[in-house]
Amino acid sequence: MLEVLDLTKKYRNTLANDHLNFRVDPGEIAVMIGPNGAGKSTAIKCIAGLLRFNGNIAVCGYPNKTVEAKRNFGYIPEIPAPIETLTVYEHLEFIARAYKVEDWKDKARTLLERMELDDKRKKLGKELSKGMQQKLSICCALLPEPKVVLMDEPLIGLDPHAIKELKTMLTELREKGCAVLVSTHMLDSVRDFWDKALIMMDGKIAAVRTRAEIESTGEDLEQLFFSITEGAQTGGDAR
Amino acid sequence: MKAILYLIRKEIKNAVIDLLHHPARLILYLFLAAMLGLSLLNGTEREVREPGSYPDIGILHGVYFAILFLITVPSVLSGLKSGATFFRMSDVNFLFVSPISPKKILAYGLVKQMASSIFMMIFLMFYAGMAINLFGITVWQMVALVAGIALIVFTIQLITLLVYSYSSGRPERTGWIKTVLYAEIGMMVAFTLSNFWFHGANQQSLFAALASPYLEFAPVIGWIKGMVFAIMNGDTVRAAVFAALNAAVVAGSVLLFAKSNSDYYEDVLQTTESTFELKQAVKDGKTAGVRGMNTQPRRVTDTGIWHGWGASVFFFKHIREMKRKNRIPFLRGTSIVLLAINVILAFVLRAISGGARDDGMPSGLILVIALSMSSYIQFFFNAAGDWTLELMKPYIYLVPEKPFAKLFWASLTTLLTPVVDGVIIFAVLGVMLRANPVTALVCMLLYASMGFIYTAGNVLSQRIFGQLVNKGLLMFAYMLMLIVLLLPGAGISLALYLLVENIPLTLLGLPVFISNVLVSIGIFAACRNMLSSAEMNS
Repeated sequence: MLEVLDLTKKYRNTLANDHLNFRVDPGEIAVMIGPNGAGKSTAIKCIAGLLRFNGNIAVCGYPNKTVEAKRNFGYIPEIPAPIETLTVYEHLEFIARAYKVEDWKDKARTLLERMELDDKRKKLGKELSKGMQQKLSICCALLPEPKVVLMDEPLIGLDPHAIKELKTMLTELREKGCAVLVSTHMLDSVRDFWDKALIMMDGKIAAVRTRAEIESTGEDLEQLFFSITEGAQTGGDAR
Repeated sequence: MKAILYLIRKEIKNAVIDLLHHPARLILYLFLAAMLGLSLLNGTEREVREPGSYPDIGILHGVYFAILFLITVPSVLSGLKSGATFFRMSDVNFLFVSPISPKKILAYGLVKQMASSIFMMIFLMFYAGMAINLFGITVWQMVALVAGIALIVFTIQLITLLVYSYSSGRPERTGWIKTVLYAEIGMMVAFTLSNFWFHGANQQSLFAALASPYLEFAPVIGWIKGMVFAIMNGDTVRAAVFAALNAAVVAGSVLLFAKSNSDYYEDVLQTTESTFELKQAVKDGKTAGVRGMNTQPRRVTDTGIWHGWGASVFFFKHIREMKRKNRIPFLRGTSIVLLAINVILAFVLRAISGGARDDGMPSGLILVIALSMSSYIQFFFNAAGDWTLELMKPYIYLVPEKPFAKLFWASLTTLLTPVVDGVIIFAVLGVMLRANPVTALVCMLLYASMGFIYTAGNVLSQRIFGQLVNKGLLMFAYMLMLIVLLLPGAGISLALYLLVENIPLTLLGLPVFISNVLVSIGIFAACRNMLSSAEMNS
């Protein structure tokens, strides 16, 4: 489970995240949607422990910067950054050893096959295309079988097969009881699988809706999104 | 043309406004300007010594010639391969696609390049005080020297552009340009060696060769050197001749380039893109990007990290990466280059100070000079150590291990590299110079300890100034911090030197070694939780 309480992140004079509060339960896929510059990536980076922040973030009950929390989450960055001089296989071996994953080889093989990287095992990080780098990031994040997965614009740069595979993986993670947080500015890309939508604007969560709420009230998520991001009054409340 | 003038005007205006909006940067520039002023003032108010008490002016000729040579040759050689540029990506994106004439855009590029050459000249003036005091030259003579360097940077950039445009995709042209370049180098080397042949291989004949007016007839390098020293000596006719020759080269290159190749965009595009990526990497502190562009890893034959569990895998990952770049871990190309520089330095110092005779330079002193120079060079190598590069990737922050364990294992190769380099360099120099083994050993220890203090200083600056966005300021703060960290050891050694009579030179090094090691351990202990509060540089 992921719990974010009062998350605030300030860069000099810019308030990138302004008192964010939300939680993602086990078996739930939350999507953080918002226009460019809304503060989605900053929030994800704060949760991943890459940035300093004010507030509290707990991963499976542990503060996000503790070893216990790190053991429980996987992170797929917005811009993939493979290690230039390690091969694809070595990336997975590195993650397995760093996270102390026992019997990792079969898991690694399965992930590589699903992402169609199995024939690229001996390719160096710097030889991979942007899309392949992103696929490798996904494999690395999922190898330790995390209970919380953080994805920052994960579909950008992927080919259609990888997009389909990643969407299947996300629903599988949900079935396994994983809490998944996906940040994106493309509403269409997450339409099929979201359980909770956090609409962000100007560093704040402007509205929170669950799929059940939307379905019961007949509200249109896309209309809500545009009414918030394009400034119209809609009464969208943050919960 | 109106659009370009508007662009220049706006760029200048916005740069000034931006500076006013960043008081820290403004203070830094004012501080640097004050330092420069002081340095020049110090130069003008120096006491005038007896003419014979200054070092041979031939040394200045030699050093200056070497600087011009080192700016020119690699630049032209790289230009043959990948071209040159004085355009930025924004010029490519906005100007190249605009309906402005390519020739006007070229003129704009030239003006900007000239401005940046002048700007570089200002920074070179920081060495003014030292040169003025050392050689007894005036401030204006120093200005002439620096202006010559700025001029060669500008001229060479232009020639490189022309050379690339002329030779791109035509191996036979590349071949003959290389032949011309090597012939010029060969003639200069042959001239210097012939002086050795006729007057003996000693200091005087080396300086006489380098200060010789004949060498000044070598195109561009010689002309600019000749012009600068003619100005310094008040020989206006000679200065005018060399200035005219250089002006002809500049004008000819511009004309040839613009006339023969109005479609030059493609020629500069690749280099502009690479330069942009390089600058972006440096701006972001991503030296990995810089390194990635310049090094070609070995072909992958086997794959696997094989060792490490938890935090220690960072160390073994670094070893695997080292093996991929060089066959033997820790023995990098830079280690070999550093060794070669030291061997050449020792050879030259020994040769010009009278060989291995009793009145020649003592081997201990040569080792100390080599140590100082190697430690200075190590500063730049260390800045791109495995540890620094690890901070640019998310893994060091994400891996579920204690921050100190990650800090230790991730910096271990950076700490061990200078140990290996130090042992190799000073073992080879010690044998070559038949130096006292204890002196060589102390040099190894000191060199390794300098590596420790550089790494520790880096950790500390990340801990204190990790949030600092301006990388220039971060570097400045890092250098100031290093001076402070080195003070305890240097202070104790100085006190020992002043208090104990006839203390052996080797003993003076030990307090520095002990202090560096203790300070480094202290910093690692104090910053053990640094990774918990650090922010990834992205």
